[in-house]
Amino acid sequence: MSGSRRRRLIGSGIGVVLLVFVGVNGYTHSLEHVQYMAGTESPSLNCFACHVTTRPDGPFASFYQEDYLSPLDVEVSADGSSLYVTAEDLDRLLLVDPERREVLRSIPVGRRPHSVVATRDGGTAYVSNRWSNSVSIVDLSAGTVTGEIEVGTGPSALVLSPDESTLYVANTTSDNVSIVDLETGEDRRRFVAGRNPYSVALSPDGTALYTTSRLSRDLTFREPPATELTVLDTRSDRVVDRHVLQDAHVVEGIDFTPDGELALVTLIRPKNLIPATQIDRGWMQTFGIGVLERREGGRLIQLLLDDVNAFYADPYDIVVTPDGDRAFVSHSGADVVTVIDLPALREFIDTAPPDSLAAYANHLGVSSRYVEARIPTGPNPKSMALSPDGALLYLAERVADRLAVIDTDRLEVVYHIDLGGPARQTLIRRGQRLFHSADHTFQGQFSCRSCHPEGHHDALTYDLEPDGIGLNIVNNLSLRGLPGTAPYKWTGKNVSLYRQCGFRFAKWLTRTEPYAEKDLHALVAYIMTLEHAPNRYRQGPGGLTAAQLRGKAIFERERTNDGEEIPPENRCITCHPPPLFTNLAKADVGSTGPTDTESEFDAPSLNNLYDQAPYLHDGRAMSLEEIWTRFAPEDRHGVANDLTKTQLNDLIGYLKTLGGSDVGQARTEG
Amino acid sequence: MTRNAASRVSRYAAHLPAATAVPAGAAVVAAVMAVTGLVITGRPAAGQDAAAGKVATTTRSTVPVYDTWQTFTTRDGLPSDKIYTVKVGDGRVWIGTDKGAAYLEDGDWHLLTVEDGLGHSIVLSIDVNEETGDVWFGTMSGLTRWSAGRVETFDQFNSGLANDVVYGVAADGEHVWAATAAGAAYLNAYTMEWGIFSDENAPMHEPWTYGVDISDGVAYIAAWGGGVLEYDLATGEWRDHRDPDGEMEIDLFPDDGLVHDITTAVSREEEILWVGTYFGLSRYDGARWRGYFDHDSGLSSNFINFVRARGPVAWVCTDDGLNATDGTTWVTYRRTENTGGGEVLISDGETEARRRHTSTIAHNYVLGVDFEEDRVWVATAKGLSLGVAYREATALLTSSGARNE
Amino acid sequence: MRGIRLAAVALAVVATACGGGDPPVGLLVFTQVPAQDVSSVGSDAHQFPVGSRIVTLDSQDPSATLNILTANFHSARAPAVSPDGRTVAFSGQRDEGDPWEIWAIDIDGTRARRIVRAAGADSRYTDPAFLPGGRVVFVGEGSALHVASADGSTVTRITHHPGPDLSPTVLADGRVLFASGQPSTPVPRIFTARADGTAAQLFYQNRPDSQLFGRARERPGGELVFIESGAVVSVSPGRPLASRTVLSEGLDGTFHSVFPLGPDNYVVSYRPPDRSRFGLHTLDADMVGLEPLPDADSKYHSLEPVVVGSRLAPKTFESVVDPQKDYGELYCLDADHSSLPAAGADGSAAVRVHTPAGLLGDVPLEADGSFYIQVPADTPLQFETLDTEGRVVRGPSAWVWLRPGERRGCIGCHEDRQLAPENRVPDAVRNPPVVLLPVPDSTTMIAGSEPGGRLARRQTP
Repeated sequence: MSGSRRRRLIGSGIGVVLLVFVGVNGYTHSLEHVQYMAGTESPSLNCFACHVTTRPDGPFASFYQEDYLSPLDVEVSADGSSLYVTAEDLDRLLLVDPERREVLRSIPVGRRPHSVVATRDGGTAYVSNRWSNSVSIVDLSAGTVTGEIEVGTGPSALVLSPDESTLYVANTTSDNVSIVDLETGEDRRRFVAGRNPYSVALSPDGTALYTTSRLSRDLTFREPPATELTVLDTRSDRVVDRHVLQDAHVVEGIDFTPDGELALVTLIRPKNLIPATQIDRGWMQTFGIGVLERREGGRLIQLLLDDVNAFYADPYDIVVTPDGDRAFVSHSGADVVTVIDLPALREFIDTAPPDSLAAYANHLGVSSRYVEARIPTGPNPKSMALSPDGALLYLAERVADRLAVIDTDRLEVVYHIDLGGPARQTLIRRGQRLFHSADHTFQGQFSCRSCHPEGHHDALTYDLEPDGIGLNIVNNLSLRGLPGTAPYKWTGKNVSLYRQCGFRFAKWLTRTEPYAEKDLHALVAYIMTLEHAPNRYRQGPGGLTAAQLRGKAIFERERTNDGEEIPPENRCITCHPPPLFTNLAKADVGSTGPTDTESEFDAPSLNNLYDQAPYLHDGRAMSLEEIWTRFAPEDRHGVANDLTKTQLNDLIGYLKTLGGSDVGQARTEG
Repeated sequence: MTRNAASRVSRYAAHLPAATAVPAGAAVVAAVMAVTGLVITGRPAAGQDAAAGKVATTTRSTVPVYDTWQTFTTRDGLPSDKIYTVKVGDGRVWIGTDKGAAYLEDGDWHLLTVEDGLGHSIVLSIDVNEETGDVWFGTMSGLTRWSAGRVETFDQFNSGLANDVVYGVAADGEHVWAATAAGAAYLNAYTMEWGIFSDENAPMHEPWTYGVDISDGVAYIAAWGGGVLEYDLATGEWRDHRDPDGEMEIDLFPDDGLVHDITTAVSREEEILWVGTYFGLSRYDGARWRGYFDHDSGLSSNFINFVRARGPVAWVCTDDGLNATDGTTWVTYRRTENTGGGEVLISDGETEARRRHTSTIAHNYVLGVDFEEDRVWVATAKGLSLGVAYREATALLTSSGARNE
Repeated sequence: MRGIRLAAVALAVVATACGGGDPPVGLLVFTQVPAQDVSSVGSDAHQFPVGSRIVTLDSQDPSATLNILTANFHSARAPAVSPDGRTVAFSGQRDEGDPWEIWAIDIDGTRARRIVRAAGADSRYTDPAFLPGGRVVFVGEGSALHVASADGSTVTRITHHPGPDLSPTVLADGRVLFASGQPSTPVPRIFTARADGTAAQLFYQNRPDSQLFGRARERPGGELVFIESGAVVSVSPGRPLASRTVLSEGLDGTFHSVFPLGPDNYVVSYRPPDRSRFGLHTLDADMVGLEPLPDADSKYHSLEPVVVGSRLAPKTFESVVDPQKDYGELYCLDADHSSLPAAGADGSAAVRVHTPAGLLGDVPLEADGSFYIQVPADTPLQFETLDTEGRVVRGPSAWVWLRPGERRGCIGCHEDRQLAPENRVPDAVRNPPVVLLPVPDSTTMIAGSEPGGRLARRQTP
């Protein structure tokens, strides 16, 4: 054997050994890494889970993403011959022929279309676009958008005045309702609603506009939610009542009895103030309706739709039949439509002893008195609409891309109308389904969505169990914009969402079987796709106002107003560096609250901070200002005590611009 | 936390001139003035059908003389007799007192207190947003919004409000302005964005602002020691009006501009800007300034607490009587102590008439005024007055045996 | 409707999953008790009948014959079938005079093995039921529920109170449903608990004059069927306290046990009025037809039928029990909230906690009536509310327990069992718990008040 050959052989040998060494070690290291990230000993996950399939903008996205429709709102034309459906994830308005059971037209509208209303002649439809902050005017015969009306931020439901001259639009993010003059196409005035106004509905006589709100209007630390039901007198354009649904929130659906005597709303009664030590018997969430007696001195009654051992999560829409005999409630987390016997309900509240009604709001044993039936539906049932004769109920099954048609006499789904979504069920789509389903919670007590409407937050603080009763109250965080922001939890204990949503989640929150790993994977993949809404505080691509630029300079400053150097650890930008505005590390900023056992908290991402009040890890700060005016006594949450009030305003003005796409960009994309 | 809060108060207080420390007694009343200047176009008065729509204010061509007055005090249900401000809007008469706010509706007074969410019991100014019916209160501790019974207070801790001491407030559509002890605060009520204008970023010499009015897309700010500032809501451009002679003691050159830089109130109607100072009244028609003093006009006192214009007539609230003028004709109301009645002096510079009335304003220290159809509400240091029947001043001047001075 | 569909799906899934040599779906496993031993049947007085045996029968095959699984046992009863249909657990006495122990045997009668060895010669363990992972819950020492690991290597007692716990069955959601007696209420009621013994609570309140008999069984849709005073009773899972339906209404004779057979029918152990022997019958869902099954062996009663392959595996729970702790924590939102009348008109000032060994302590209530205590784990606890003079306002309560590390809240003392709590922060949890752990050489401890002094609620600061 020649020397060179020997050397080659030895060299190859060393190479092979090195390859094997690297390979084996690499594999071992990778396995350990996956185990660490997933928080389990034997994860079935692989590298692809975190590095490919849960990257919504990754290079392989097209392989595992599909353009689903996600029908959200469904409306029936006045003559019953057409259905109008908003396809939330495809930015389309669908025109559906209910007879032929097929989609006739798919009309591009703005981004994230939410609701649709149409004129009685079927000529024009108005579609609210959540992410374009606008209402599209759609010529239904031509199938084109003929105009756009700029409204408040995040418009959701809309309703036409009886004379079709005025459009009322609930601006969910800007907490007000636009009154749009359709002759001029102008948002002529806005009135202040509750927090996150969601649905708007006119009383049968058209004289009162009711606006539901999703979030509690008061955020006082450790006080129960109180959510507003706002009443506008449409003749005077004046808010005449602000009813408060005490202890309730996520009030999304509303309808009236035909005689106008009762307004019915859907609601959640959360139990966030009670230590989350148990789930049975409604100790985490309960779901029901509010019944407003629309007369002088009328009562606002809350009743549950749950049973003592069975929960009907996330009531979304409510529709009353033309004869006033029944109300249908879609439970988007339980895949059920509850049928309420309205005469029985009226009798129940009319004969209930006055002092027992308050207790009934928490009573899981009375629903059988007024619940006539539960109709199983497809996944994630959302908006509903009745045919003009009341015989058929059309229901948007959001995650199935179809409409269910319910026979209101037989009280069952009689057929479906396929809206033509992709046949393939992607991982993300399955995750979306899981996210919205309460199936993975003991007795169906809640879904992810119950506390994270639209993947956002519910503005509540919770007393979770693992760290003890009454300790470490935590502010519920938005799930939007999570990629790259690990670790999770305020304590930064969870290195990945797999851990966050894994077996400890099942042990301490859902209190049932943990997600199977394939489901967990799907869920995480879906959550990672949740984006922040476009940010209206930014005036255009890269453009900040003078005040916002001053605020940016303060955010990035290294010296105080007096010229003293600010230690790096006490500069805003140190812990909150762009683009995520978090350094992914814990810090003690002197924000320790009365219930805390720890003083270091994970620096949260500041993106889309503007609609995430309350603030701080325990939600004590009701506004951004309070972070510094009340809860930074030692001036360690970034040096700020030298700031003038104007400077603080500038800083906050800048903080509100962080995150989300530009609205302008969103428009052009839409 | 408390420590921090306290330090913040003092820190922001440090931006104030020393005079912010509020003195006791009558000086309190002097220090707590408000200007609100919108023409009332609100809902019909109490008792009328709310659905009937709005009643536009009739613009008066001559100065009215009210000869019948009613007085409201705690006996009638007011929270206090010390009335700092009165505002009519949206079918209600609102008052601000040292013991909270109250409104008159359907013949009853309804109180609004700190317990209800009001920022402070001392309510210095009130405005009603004619678009929405929302009511804004400037209090000694924050800006409070009342909206169909819901009460929220914005202060310097929980919001971008410049300072907790709010002397004046004006609300028009999405625009809300507050004159505070540390600058003028702007709030966009649609987006809840705040701005502060003070000596740091606006042509003010001091941050202390007293009154604010919004008219034709412009905010007018009465800035203590800084004259009147105009802020164009559309363009964000500033314009300032100062006393050209700069004299603090006298108005050196008549009608050369604003009579004094220490302004206390602004009100603009029919393109006429009225400015109250502690040294006289100014009128500006966009081209020419006129000054009015107690020695050369019907003005009862140079110490002006508040001004509100209605049509061409300015109602001027002073420490010694109430005046109404269109710049030519003057009507002055003074209470005669011990009689309960009062004297009305009517003059047009050439003719003067003096009339005695068995009823008049509740007190000569007058702090606020507003109008409800043909009636006038007056806030005084000892009760709320309502003038209910009037005659035209010019008619009275010709018919009353007026004498030529 | 939904339930029936689910049941069909469940059966189909199991049927698909079971290939080749798996036991046929519909195979019946049941207990035979010598017919002459009439006293052992119908009264439940005698749970351990001599000469009993466990058999299988293919109900789908008319020509099938009985297969005796426990031929090598002196006595055996209370069969439970693993979710995969391959294993039968039962209570067995290997030889005469042996204790009754928990055994397992393959469905074909081979490989009998003891899962839980008796602690004493007189031990009588019974009623095994399969938990996820092959673990078994059963009635063990002290007539309390115990859980054994799949191989029997660890056995943990999960219920702790002076009364007997009987007839556990494992629900699809993973909870254990069982009959539980209190010294004060001799008639057992149906409770549920997590499989680690936490969160025990009343599920069904039977009538005071009725007798629960044997194990309750869960239909695929979740309805519970069981025998109450000889009748077949069903309750809906959503509203078990208010949905009692007598399925066997109008049928004379006596029912001993029931098991859901398919979506529309049951298999029951039934004795017609004119007979002395319990035999297996099918019973339609609408209760019109009772059809005898070919289990005829005149020498034996046929009892405790179980249908193989009728259900999916129950869900698993992550246990919250922390073996490192010897205490649990309990908070109550308002001790005066009760469905029971109070002895006095005024509200309570304190709550008194007893253990069987004596008084554990008195705890003053907070202004809102709440209290928050740390108590010894795995110890029966009883509560009374006291007025300012120390007189009993309400109580004593039923015996309850907390597992190590368990944290639990209650709305009130003897609250309405269908009530969800008010969403308020109880004053008591704003402070650390009052510790009520036994003090050596003392069984009494007064917390938060002067000895001999008046009791008073704490004032909210």
